[in-house]
Amino acid sequence: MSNTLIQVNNLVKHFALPGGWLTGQRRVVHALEDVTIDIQQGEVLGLVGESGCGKTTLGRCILQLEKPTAGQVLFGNTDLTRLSKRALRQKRRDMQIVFQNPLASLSPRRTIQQSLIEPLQTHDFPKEEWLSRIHAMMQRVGLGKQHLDRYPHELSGGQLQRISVARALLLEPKLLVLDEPTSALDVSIQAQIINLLDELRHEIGLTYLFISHDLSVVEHLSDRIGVMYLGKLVEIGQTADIINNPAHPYTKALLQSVPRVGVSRDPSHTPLEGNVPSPIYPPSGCRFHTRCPIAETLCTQTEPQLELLDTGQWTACHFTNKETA
Amino acid sequence: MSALLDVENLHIAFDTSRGQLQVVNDINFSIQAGEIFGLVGESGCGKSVTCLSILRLIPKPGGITQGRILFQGEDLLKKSSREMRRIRGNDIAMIFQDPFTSLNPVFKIGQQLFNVVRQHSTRNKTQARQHILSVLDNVGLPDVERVYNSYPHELSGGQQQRVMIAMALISEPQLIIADEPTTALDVTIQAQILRLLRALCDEHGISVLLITHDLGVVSEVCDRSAVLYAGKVVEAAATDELLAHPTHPYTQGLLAALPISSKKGSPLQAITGTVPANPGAIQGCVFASRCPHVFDACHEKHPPQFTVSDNHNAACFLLDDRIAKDNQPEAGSTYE
Repeated sequence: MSNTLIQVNNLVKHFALPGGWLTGQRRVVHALEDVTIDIQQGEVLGLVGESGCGKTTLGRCILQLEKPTAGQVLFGNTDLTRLSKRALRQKRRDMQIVFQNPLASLSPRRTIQQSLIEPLQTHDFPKEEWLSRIHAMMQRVGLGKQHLDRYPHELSGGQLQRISVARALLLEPKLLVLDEPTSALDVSIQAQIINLLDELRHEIGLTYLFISHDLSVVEHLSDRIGVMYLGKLVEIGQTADIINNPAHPYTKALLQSVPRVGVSRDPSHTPLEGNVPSPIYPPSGCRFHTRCPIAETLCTQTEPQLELLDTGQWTACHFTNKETA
Repeated sequence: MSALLDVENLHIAFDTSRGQLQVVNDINFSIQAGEIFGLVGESGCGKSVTCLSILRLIPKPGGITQGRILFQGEDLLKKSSREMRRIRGNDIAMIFQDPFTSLNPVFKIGQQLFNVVRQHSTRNKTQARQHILSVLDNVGLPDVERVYNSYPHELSGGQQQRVMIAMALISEPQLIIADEPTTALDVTIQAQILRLLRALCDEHGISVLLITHDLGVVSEVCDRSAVLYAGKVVEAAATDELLAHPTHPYTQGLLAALPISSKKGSPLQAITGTVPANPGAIQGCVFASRCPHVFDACHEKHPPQFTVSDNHNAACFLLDDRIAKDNQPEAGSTYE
């Protein structure tokens, strides 16, 4: 492969639940289990899955906003999990994040300008450059100087999300993690933000980790897509392969569940039964076997590993080949 | 065939310190028995207050300033509050967006449903329990005895929403108003819930007023739909017709803004600008400030509803031959 920006190796993240210390039965949320994934320089990697599948946790673990329980996160040649706080702070300049709800991620008591100055201050940019950098960036995201003296509540959701993007890009990062950046926005505004992200990426040569539950948005922006289920990466590959030839039964079900305009659903399709199991007590073997239409005894016992298929994507399922054949 | 629900000329306004804010402005639609009617629009377009107004549940300082809401031929706005209490739950029931905040966290599911049954029927305790179990079974919940004895937090989001639907169904209403019933749910669960709503309509002849912002959901379950923008119905038609041949520039814009496979690699068509803050104060078309085809007439007065074809109306001057003759959009300037 050309140029790997981020290499995540066997990442595990467990969240300990309170209680249980008396009986010795500590309960643990298995948020991420043995995830290995890479992000190439200049690509958009989309991460999809339902709530609780660990996609946000993975994004946060890459940025070290959560300390992984085990595993490596390589940024270039440095392992981020082993860096000191001071060194990590330096590295943070290269990786920024945009959150889902812009109103919640901007301080309500600061003007936009105050919020935008903070990252420049933290990372010791020369004071005389602050305003010129901010003005240029505001213009780049389609806003003007007049917005700088406003407070967040005076701006619309779309404008606030543009400001969140501007704040993240002020430090000229290499990697931008976008955690559901358009979920809080209306469709017409969502389209504006997606277009902005797409333009910025090509202009500046950014790398995105794009996290979303909305498959159509992910499909539109991403070069590759990773599908997660209950803390596991179940399938990953080129966008077109994942969308047109999904191999994992979960990916298939997910794609079929999305209501699409003007596409009448195959009447024979039955929606996935049941609910996502609890990540505190994940099922044995393949984690999807409780809802999988093609599960067999093997699936309840042995956990499938990611395997490269002829079609080009990596899939973790015992029976993919059998079913696609 | 007369309509089950007829909303005519509905106006809703909120009193604020800066004067009256008109949030719904002359909305008309009707729902037939046994159909799912979709009301689509972006946040702030007035879809939620419209459905609250049908049950006369608009919180103060808001209120209905004009119009009629005919349910089975009778005007709900003329009913006494005592009569409205009978209608709510009995004839018209409601499902809200977030099931977890709609269920009381300190009572078991069975108890909450039991109260509803005792309120709305003369069943004794045993009959009530039997009835609840059968309705829970009807909405596809597994192990109904266990659900009956569970607290809301012990159920998943999808199960909670099924309980809400069971609660709405429990006194066998003719109309269910569902306000974004699947927005808080994951797609695989959303698919289950939508399928359930469709089945209830087909099997029991219940009508559903479905409020949503998701055109995909509309496309999947609604028979007919209306598109709302800034407190006005801008276009209404059978869903297939609406999505295949949108005529109002706003509907066209919404569809063009959706990311779909065929558009990958090219920029999405965004609608420029934002929704006007006080649409009631606008003299002309409420969409004029964002419309790509705007011309003089649009700023002068509200466009009336024009008939596009049978059961397909849109409020846009482009459909008026007299005014729009010189202003027809040129080829290429429209949304794809």
